[in-house]
Amino acid sequence: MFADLLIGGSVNGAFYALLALGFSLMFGVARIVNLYHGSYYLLGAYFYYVYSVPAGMPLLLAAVASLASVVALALFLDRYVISRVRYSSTTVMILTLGLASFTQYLVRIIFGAKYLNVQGFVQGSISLLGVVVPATRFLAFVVAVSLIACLWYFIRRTPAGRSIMAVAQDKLAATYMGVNADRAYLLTTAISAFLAASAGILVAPFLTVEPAMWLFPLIKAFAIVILGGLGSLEGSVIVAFLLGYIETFVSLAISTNMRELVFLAVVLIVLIVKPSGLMGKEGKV
Amino acid sequence: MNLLEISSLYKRFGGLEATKNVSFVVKKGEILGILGPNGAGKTTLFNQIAGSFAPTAGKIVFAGLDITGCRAYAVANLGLARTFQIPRPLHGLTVLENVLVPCYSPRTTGLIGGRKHAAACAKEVLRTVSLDEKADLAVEKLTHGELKKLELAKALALKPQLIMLDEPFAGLGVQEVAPIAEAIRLLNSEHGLTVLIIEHKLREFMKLVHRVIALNYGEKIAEGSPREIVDNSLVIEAYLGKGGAALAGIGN
Amino acid sequence: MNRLTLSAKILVGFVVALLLFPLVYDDAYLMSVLVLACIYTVYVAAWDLLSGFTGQENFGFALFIGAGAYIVGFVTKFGGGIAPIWGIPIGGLVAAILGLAIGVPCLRLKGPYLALATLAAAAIADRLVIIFSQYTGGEDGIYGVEFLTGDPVTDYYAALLFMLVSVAVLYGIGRSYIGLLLKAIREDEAAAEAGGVNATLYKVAAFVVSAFFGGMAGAFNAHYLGYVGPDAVLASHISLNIIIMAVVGGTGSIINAALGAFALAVAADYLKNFGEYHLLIYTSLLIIVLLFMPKGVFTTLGTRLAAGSAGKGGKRV
Repeated sequence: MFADLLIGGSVNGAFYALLALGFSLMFGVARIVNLYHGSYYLLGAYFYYVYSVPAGMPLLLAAVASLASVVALALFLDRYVISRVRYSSTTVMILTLGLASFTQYLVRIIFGAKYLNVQGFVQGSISLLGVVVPATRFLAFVVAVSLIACLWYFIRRTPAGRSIMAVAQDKLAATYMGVNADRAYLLTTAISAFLAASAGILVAPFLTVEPAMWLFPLIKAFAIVILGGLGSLEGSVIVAFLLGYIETFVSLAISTNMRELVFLAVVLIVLIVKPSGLMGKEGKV
Repeated sequence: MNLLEISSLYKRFGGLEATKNVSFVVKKGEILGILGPNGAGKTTLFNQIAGSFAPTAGKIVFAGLDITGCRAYAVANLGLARTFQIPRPLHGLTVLENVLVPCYSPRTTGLIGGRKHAAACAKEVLRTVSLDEKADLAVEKLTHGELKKLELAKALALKPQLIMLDEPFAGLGVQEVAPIAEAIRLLNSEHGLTVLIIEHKLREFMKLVHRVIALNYGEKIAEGSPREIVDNSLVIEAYLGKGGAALAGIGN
Repeated sequence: MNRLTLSAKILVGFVVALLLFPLVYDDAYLMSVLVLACIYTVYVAAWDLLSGFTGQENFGFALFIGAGAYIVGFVTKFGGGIAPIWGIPIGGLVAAILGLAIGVPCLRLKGPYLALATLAAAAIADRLVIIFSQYTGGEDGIYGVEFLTGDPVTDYYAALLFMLVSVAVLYGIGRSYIGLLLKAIREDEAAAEAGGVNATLYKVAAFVVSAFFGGMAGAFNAHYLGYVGPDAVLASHISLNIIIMAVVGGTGSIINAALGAFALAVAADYLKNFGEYHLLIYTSLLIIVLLFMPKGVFTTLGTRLAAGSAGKGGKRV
């Protein structure tokens, strides 16, 4: 049971962390709550399907093409659509929510509402700590953790990454020191979409791929980022893994139905008790 | 009588002591000025008195009532009004609507039945600061000077006994300062309004105030008449640094 | 009444048309669409008081609607039924109490934090209904709620009356000093407090009043359909739809949001003619309005009409 919890929770946690980090970056740097984020996840999976099945590309190439497509879309949307309403945070939230709904319905018209079957990169399963883990899940975990590590390295060690953090802290001051804020925004948008799309590609083989799949992961990413503290990347990762373990625990010990209820209740309680989240500074939207 | 009594006020933010053992009184009917270099804790002092946040320790007594830690709206309704250093107009509303908000307060028009008088009260207040012509203008269209006047109007709308002005002349040209200073003087001499004022524009400030307190690094360093304060070596040192007294002597 | 603006005259004309409609057309289906539009209009008008005026954006308003509806459902299931004349106000009261319970803890929350908290609260209620399905009827809901009147035409007039009275009251509150104080709190809570406004009181009051009307409308819905179920009164798409309608209509004035709700509710039904494209078109409308008329369709229209008839004594809506 403990091994199940550890492994299941870790896989879940890594997945949530991947989603939450992109969302957190968008908020921390661009100061917008991008509710289209879940759709990058959705589109990552769907593009991967399109490139690998009807288009027949080799899987790895299909994955890369999917990532490129989603990032291109993200940059386009940010530049031509979202930028028009950036002045009002509420409008951004509602616009991106509308875009996400639009995307869902479009996908449903094109692909139908049924679940899609997507091939994983690897087959079979491996045995870990006495637990049988499907290889696709294990791969998802490994890739997710690697991506998170790469992100950490990028943010902390490269000039481009540090410029993003500078803009997040104080945009004006950063520009005075020669940081190109617009480029930082673009980079952030690209990274954010990249991470979300990767999550979509990684879990496509074993989680349900269907038009409404963007909503719940979005809500969870939203909640994780807020609980972890808007603007704190470390907070997001920690809360993501916590959530992963709690969910797995509740699934194993009680029932899958209660899983979401417990999560929602925790969200509500934390917000009431500590409005700025576990590790966050007062997030000004 | 003492309208406002501050006793041993102390405020710390984490490791920073913003207000250290500050005590003074404001006599009814006087204009008391507060001087001090930037960062001395003047606005923090105002914030504690007005109820924006509570002091860490100490006591604030207004008109005989202990208002330490009371919320801002309660303090306002007791007759202690304040303006903000950087004007905080309510966007999306007109000038008249901005002043109507404090006019609708329980203090000004009462809880029952008085609210129909609010519009008249608002127009009256706007006339006092010469903004009545602009009553229906959107607040975004006002100049900086007019916004400062609006701040004053909003405070006066509360029909206060004591008004705290945080740098009312900041950002204004000489011609704009004079009418406001005159308005304050009249309100004090003819209507008995007690005034607590922070300002950096010393020429107008010294002509306006009856008494002055000087703050530095959160502490009260001097108290006296305008003449006494200007000659006080600690005050000079606060503004001009050590050896400032000598500098100040140049030109005498 | 003789110096009405152009917008006001159009509005009056529209209401008169609604009143006369059943006498001219005998279309039961269209009547039912309009009844649902009336109910949604009340949802949105109530939401606007809380979120548009006070700036406390509620992303889970269905919680209050569901509370009003389900209390009627519970009394029907366990108490033998309840007449609409009681059910509707009681639904409102129960929801109002819930509004108090939610409004107080949410005082410190703003923006996305509040959005998430209200979203979570509504989602929790939705989950609870499924989990305790033996009491709530689960996904299937509760049938057998006493009908409003049983006659489509009377139902229609009842809905119209309910909508007109509710919107009038909410609009009246919005235009009164209370509305101004709520807007002041939204713009700058600290400055409003410095002006003697007890922000806590007004913020909680906004929650309670808004919830009251939402709950009443939910109960009204229950009596109209004779049925209570999560998909009808508690689902997240209802909360989101309310926000969409309010934003498209124009927040912050009650009337514009209400018009947006009525228009979209009718449009949504009309769009069903387009089969599977209807939701796509619906969301495209939202996106277009947000990009090109961010203040809302009716707010923009109202401003244009007022500017056009400037000099005839424009009354701001």
